[in-house]
Amino acid sequence: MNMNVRIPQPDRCIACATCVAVCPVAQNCPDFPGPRMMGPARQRFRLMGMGEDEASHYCANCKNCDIACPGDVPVSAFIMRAKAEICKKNFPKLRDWILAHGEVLAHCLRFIPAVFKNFGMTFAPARLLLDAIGIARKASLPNFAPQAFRARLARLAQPNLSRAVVFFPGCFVDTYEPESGLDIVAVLNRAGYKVIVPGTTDDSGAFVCCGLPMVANGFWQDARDNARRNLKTLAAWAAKGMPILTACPSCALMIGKDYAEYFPALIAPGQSSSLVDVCDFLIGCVERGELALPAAPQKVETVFYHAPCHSRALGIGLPGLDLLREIPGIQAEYADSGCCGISGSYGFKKDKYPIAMRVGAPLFEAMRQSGATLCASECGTCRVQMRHGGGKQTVHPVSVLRRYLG
Amino acid sequence: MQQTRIVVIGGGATGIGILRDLSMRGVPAVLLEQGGLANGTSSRFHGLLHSGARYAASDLHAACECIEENTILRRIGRHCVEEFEGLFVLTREDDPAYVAPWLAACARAGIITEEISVEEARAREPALAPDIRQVFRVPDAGVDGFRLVWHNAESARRYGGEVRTYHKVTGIESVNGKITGLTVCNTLNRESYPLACEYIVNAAGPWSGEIARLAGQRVDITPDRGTLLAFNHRFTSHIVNRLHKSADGDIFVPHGSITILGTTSAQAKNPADTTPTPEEVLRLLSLGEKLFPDVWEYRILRVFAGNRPLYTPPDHDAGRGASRNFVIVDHEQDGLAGFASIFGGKLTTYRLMAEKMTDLVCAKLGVATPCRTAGIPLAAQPARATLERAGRRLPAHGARLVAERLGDQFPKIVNAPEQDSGADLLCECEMVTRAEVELVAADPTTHFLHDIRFRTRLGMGTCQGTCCSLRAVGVLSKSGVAFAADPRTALRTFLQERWRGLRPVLWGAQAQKCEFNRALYGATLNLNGADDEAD
Amino acid sequence: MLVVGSGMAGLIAAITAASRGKSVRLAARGAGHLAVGNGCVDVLGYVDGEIVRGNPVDSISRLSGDHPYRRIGAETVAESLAFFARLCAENGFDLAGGNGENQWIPTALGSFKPTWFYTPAMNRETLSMADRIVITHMPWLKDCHADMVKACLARQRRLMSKDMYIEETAPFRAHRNLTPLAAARFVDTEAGERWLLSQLLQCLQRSSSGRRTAVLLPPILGVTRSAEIRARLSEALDADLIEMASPPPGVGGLRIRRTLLRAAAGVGVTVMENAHVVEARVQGQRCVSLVCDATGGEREVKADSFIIATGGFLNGGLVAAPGGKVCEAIFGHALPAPERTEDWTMPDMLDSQPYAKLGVQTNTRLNPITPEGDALPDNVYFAGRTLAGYDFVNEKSGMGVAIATGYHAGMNC
Repeated sequence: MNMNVRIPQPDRCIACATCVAVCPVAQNCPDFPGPRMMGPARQRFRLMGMGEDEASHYCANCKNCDIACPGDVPVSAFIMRAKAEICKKNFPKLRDWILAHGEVLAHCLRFIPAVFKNFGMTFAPARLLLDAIGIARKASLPNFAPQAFRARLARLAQPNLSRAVVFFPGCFVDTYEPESGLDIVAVLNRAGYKVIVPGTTDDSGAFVCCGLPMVANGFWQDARDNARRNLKTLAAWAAKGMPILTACPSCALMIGKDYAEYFPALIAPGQSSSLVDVCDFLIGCVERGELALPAAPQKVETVFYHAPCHSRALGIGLPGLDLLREIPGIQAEYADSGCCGISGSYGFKKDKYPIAMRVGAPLFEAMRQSGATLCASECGTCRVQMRHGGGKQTVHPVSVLRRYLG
Repeated sequence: MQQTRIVVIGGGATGIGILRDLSMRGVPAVLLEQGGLANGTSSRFHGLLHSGARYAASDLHAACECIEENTILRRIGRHCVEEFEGLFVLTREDDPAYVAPWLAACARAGIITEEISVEEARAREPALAPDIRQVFRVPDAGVDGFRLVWHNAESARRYGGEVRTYHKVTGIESVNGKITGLTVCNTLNRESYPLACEYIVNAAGPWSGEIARLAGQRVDITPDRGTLLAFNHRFTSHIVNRLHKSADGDIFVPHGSITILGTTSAQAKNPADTTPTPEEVLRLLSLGEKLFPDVWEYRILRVFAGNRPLYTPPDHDAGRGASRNFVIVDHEQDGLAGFASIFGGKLTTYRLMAEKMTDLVCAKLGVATPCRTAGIPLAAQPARATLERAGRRLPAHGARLVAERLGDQFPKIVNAPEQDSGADLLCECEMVTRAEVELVAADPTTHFLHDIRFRTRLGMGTCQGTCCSLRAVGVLSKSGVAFAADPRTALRTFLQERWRGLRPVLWGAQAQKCEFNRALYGATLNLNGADDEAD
Repeated sequence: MLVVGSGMAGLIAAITAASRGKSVRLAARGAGHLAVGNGCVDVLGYVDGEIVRGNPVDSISRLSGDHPYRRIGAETVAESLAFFARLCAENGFDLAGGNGENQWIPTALGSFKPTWFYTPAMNRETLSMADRIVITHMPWLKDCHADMVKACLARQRRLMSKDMYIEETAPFRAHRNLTPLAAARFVDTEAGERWLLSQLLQCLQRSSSGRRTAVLLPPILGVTRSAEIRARLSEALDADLIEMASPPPGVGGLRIRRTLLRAAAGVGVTVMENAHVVEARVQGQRCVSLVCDATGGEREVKADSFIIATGGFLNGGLVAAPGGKVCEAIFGHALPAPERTEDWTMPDMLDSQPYAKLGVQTNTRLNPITPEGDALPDNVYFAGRTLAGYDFVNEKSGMGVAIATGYHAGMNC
């Protein structure tokens, strides 16, 4: 007899209310009925054909409910499916389309110089226009980089190395923060790995956006299309036995866990669609002696570290923090202040901006209290929010490492 | 001395149907029920409103009655009936030779059947076994037994009928072979009183043997226990039957937010013997897996059993072999005028049974008014404005659920003043608000928390009372409801009943749930522990 | 070393081991039982249904031989409780009790529950000493009903003669899903604290009297600053504020969980959240590693020793299957259990239940043993509800066993 009884959804929920206790949105937005009500409880009524509750748009998909659930209920997945159903029935907002399709948008705008694009993001009348379609005027939107990460990497001469890794850059690094990506490439080169970004450093099929922003905004089919493309590319590289790294915990979570949850039919039997967290990989490099760390400098610098919720959800500990702690001369201070509030594009929305700022308040306060001048976090939009709310320079942990490697 | 013309004994579907019929014909009547309404067989079945297809091959007459009554109930009981379809599924283990005669019998009974491909059936119901061979659609539907009884009771009361719950008949008096009245005990205050009447209708279901004995009469009835499982979610949106000669564990019925698997058949020791055994559960699951292979993994909310009041004349079979037809016994033939018993039958035909019984009573009393129960709905449909108003107070889907539950009383809770709308959700699993609990608690037939449960589904969802029962007792303490005066006893009784339904199925998520429930009420709230300073 | 589970037992085990200089990782799946608990530490309230008098540690000898307390010995239990009290004191968590005998804390049901440690805001003595008791009712807060509490309190010998009043505050918010946790978080803010003060002032004015007053409240006195809020409000109101233990989400439990997580981080424990340990790799008498089902596949975590504090049926440490079978979730050991399902339970839900005592059997060091008494991997230790031999619901011993066995495992590993 099977002892590990596989209890189907939504039967695993026993209404213990733990998810309600940890949900940052429910804490800061009384109109959100909370993860249990919107997820497994609601699911029983969905099966009765009772339609969706509009309040699901309040869910930020931060996944704290999934992390806290003692019964492995895929709480956030229920709510994401609900969003998709609503999106199918009602014509979605232009704003949501834009935020869900940052990659497509960036591609369309690629011939417009970044200066103009960024001017549009700061220029007051332009912000009024964005405000009119529902993007918060106060939110600090990330700046378009003059040249995308992939374009810069294509021109970068990497040393000739025998070992190689594949890198999934993710939209944020590619469009807004190529420097983080280049830092990662430099450190990996230093550890003896050439970095392959499919379609950039070679002419194989390129990765596309992981699809998480699409799911979070209700564009289920678009996310599914992207998932299919990425899975194909991933399978080809995995067949070559090549580690596939990413620096973005949300991409890692989407591809490594949520693809199977959302689109089980796309996963071939036996296929593992895993991305390796770059910090986790680098710790391995240090342990294997592939990456030598410099001797401790005279002056010890404190770095304030915030763990993105999606990093915590990966179930692999906090490799970003562990990596910082490996670096001689770095004193890593762990924020432990919960969610930053941004949740991808959530905090940019006009109606969600105040919620996001309330959610992030404890983190911002911790940043202000900290003596550190430099902060670190793996997630791109977390970094945007930390700079916006906490007012301090914030980088990817690997960028900190690169500075120390020189 | 209190008096009335007719006394109906038994607050199940049949009794309450008779009360409604009598009241609509203008005959003064009182219904006596030893427990709460619908606490017997009417709430302890699978919730299937038969199309008759299940009986077509074995009993054409019963099948014809079913399809007629099925059509009537869909019309008059829209709040109580869920109009899904039934599927008859030929599994690997069923005899294909059964199909042709069955189809012919259905046609004779006027039951429309339509074959659909296995692919289509599995597209509609993905959880169905992949190796099924043939599937037919039939006009089965779902019916909520609790709600049907309640809405009948309310309708009956509007026509002047009276319902007394927790009133047990302890004696039946007659003079010169003619009924004169009975002795009734109010089980809540243990006071006995006489009640004079002209005619007594014994509709006590599995207890009708006991009632007949009080009158010195005999009826041939055997309580036959049927055990059922209630699952936490709806894994089928159709009623799914196995296409074979009726047997155990061959019907799945979606029922509101849950699914029910039934049933078994075993002679019960007595009418109150409704304790299921773990063996029955394992048997049901191993039979049920032929239709739904994952049935072992679905979370079971509870297991429960009801007793069919089967008519078993001395030379006939009990159990599955016994007739599902109903029987009316006019005891005047046996020397007691003014006394009749009705038993057997199915919930689907409760209205017809009530009509026939009432016809008999009216003939005896010389009342010529014809039966109107088939034409007048039990409750009116809620106005659109009322639903919209409710939608603002309740979660989006809650309004419809509450409207169906409360029937004609629905506007009362919706029109409560805004500042005390009572919209706090006491039961999040079944969307029961404080206002709804307070409304039902104020009903004269409500005396225990489980009466509220029957009517609102409080405590019948995922949490099985863990979250809501404490809240409900709290609310009732505030509104001064008598039975909540001792909150600890009220709570314990309620939780104990839930526990009874989980004991035989203590594995998987059920074990998880029970540990949580016990931790809350035992460890956190110390509902059970001796108190060093209690009086 | 690796600890699995972030309930009371797991956290105490991790902190104990890390305080001994071990390098400790903690794998957590879910937020643990503390998130639903009331934050009090019950050690032993009843033995065979009889109230435990005096120090509960002294009653351990009355328990059966296979009880976890008996396995590790009363001395260890006492030591662990002292360790816990010290830990709370060092981390600024306001904890009362731990001497004399069990204290009885009020609950949202109006009953009292015996516990050993409790937050000072839950002391029944304060109620007993008051001349009048004001029970507050907050509309929309559906888990706490003053009328029910009053009905039950009035049956207490030392309370029945008191003046008891029910006073309604304004709702802090009108919403159909409001929990004491939401209120507590509001009270944590300055505006919330001011609001509560003004509400309570009005409540006390309405039933004015110069006598000593106790105010009974749902657990709403903040989550992060509860001790200071209570002190300030008590002084401003000239009344004692008393919180009732209420259903989940567990305000008290979350307060203590927060403290313990900080304490664990302070001694260098690293936490892997959302890590579902699914399998153990065992070579001979030693466990080599545990395998987590993490994002992107299996993740093997190696360690020298392992403490398993995965909880009981509720949190997935024990798994029961149809037909009266039960096993431990990670190692998959089948555990001895009654063959007939009928024998798993007693008719009364809250009686001592045989199924509640199912679990892993261990030696005195908390290493698992076979039913025949043979040791299984000797670098594996079990702690908390995964252990066999006690029904925490009936005994009111859940937190005590978790602390004592977590501590013992942390000391032994």
